[in-house]
Amino acid sequence: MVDFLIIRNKCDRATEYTNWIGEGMKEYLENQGHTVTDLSDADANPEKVTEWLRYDKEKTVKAVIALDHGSVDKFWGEKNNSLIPVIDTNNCRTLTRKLHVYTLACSTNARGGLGKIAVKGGCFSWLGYIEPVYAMKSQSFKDCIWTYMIAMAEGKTMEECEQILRKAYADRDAESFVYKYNLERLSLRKIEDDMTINSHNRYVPGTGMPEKAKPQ
Amino acid sequence: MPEKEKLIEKLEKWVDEHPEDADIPHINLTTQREFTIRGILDQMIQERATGIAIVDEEVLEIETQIEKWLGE
Repeated sequence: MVDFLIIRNKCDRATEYTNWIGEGMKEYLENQGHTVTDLSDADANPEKVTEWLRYDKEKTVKAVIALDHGSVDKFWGEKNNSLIPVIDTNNCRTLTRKLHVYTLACSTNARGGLGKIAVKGGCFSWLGYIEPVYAMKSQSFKDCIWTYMIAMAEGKTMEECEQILRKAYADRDAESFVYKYNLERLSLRKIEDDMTINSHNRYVPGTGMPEKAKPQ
Repeated sequence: MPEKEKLIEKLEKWVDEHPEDADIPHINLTTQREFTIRGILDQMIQERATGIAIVDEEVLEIETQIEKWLGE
């Protein structure tokens, strides 16, 4: 059982960028006292993602950090070095129920898309983009993307995490058009206000006990 | 001054002021098109010098986004 699941395949040029952004996240989160599974490269396959996210398994308890390809109705991983969907509109209710999802991926929060369907199906929150976006191979971009993850790990509310990420994008506006472009396409969907990964997760709030073990 | 010439002028100024940022690799995560902002400027300068218009729609889209960005 872990607090965070990181998904970051690496089977084409785009995912070389997004995989690199996830390098060091596991160690950072562990140093903050969290438990983490990092499904990188070939490990970001449908079987392992399903195994770690299924609601009835409760192997991932608080949040998903998803750095990969996305589209309106799918989040992609890899199998046999080729892209393959790992979370889609059919399985998102089972895989993201009672979790917070943070993506760097194209289009998953488009109108009527995966993020909306997931949140409607019980996912606590989904931070994503409404259209295709850009990535950069720079430490500053990596630091920008990390801000939301760091804020989540510190127990800030999802609204605070979003504002911290928006500020990180805005503060870097002089460095590339990408910061303004991505910022304008950023979107947070959530089932309610003032949630943190500690107040809303797959444990019963306040007890630290898995829901399936909760006394009836 | 034609709009494109104004954009080249603004972008040349930005590249002079941000030489390291100008060389940072960028990628569109959907199309997987890689580029640097300096590379986009070079293409625009070449277009001006040769008169051969850029027709690559993705480069034109990047130019549009750069124009919006530098226009503010």
